[in-house]
Amino acid sequence: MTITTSTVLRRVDDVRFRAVDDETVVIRQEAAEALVLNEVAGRLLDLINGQSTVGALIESLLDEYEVPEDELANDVREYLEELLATGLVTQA
Amino acid sequence: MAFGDQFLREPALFPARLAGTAGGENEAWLDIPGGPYRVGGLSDAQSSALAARYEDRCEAASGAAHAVGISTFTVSEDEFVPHERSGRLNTFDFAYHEHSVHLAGHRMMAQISWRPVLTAALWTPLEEGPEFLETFENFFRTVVAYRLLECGGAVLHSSGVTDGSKAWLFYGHSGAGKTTIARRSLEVGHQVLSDDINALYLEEGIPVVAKMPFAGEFGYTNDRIGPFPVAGLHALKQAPENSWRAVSKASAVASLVSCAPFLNHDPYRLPRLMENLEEVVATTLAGVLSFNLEGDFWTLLESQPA
Repeated sequence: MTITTSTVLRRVDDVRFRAVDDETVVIRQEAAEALVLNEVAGRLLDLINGQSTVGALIESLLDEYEVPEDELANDVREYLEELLATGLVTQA
Repeated sequence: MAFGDQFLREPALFPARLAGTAGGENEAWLDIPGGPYRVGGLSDAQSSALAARYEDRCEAASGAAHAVGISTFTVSEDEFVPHERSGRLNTFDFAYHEHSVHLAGHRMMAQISWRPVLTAALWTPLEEGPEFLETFENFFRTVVAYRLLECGGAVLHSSGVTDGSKAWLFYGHSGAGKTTIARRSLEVGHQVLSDDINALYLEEGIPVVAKMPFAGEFGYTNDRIGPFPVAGLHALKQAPENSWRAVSKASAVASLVSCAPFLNHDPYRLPRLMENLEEVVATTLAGVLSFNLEGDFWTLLESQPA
């Protein structure tokens, strides 16, 4: 799928996660699969709520990280593609 | 397929209709990590079977006030869908709820619940013999896993090794090399707890490891080994050359969760599992041990900082 600023995503139901230091442990509970996300990807997963658009997610992260908007937007798209590919999130 | 469909004739009625009566008035007290466990409702044959299986870990009566209560009931064979025995004995259906976990399996159904302390119950038509023991133990291992969660730890698929004062856990899924690690460790004079499943929990805030007498080439014995403070948690990876690398706490927690059977599929208890393991790795050396089957990995490990 193509990710735009108006795209809305939600976490898959069996995803559980926990921030540990500056990373996030993510568990797919039904399969007991585990992976680790970096700080920004973990924060992104936390912000994804089935209601906020990708544009709103980027706005939220801009308030938290001192990164140029273009750079952050590119990173967010890249992280979202990975989250979609790993099945942690889906289109709302 | 819904919970219990393949095992129970009327899964929707379990556990609302808790049919069954105690097989007898005997009790067995099991001295296993997280315990003692008081198993009640046993017939003469069942209590004798547990006494023979768990030897001096099993006492006729103990009276510890903090024992984990386990009730056993005899139910009609008619409650269960007939199956061929082979291949199904170790398979359970789980249904997870906020305050309980339901299990259904071959000629058994069980419940672990928090009211608010952990209690458990087993219903089975099996009154004695190897099949009763095997059914009880499969259920009991699950109970112990949940109990260790309350003790700040988890049951881990791992090879546990001790030098008599501290212990190491080498963890991984089937085929990762746990039994090989155990054999190589024996060769250098270490003692093996179990090469399949070990108890990791907190004792006075310190992560410790103890033997569980359940499974594995080295594990199915009743000798008490541990608890010992944990000196290292090492994920196993077979490789042509031996090497070791430290991992972040998050990576350690992630790989440990995937090796914590029973609990890592439970959505209600998974947050506690991650919390427990984070606390353990906060004070414990954690890494990935890449090893070949012949090499001396112990020299490599002993050179790592404590």
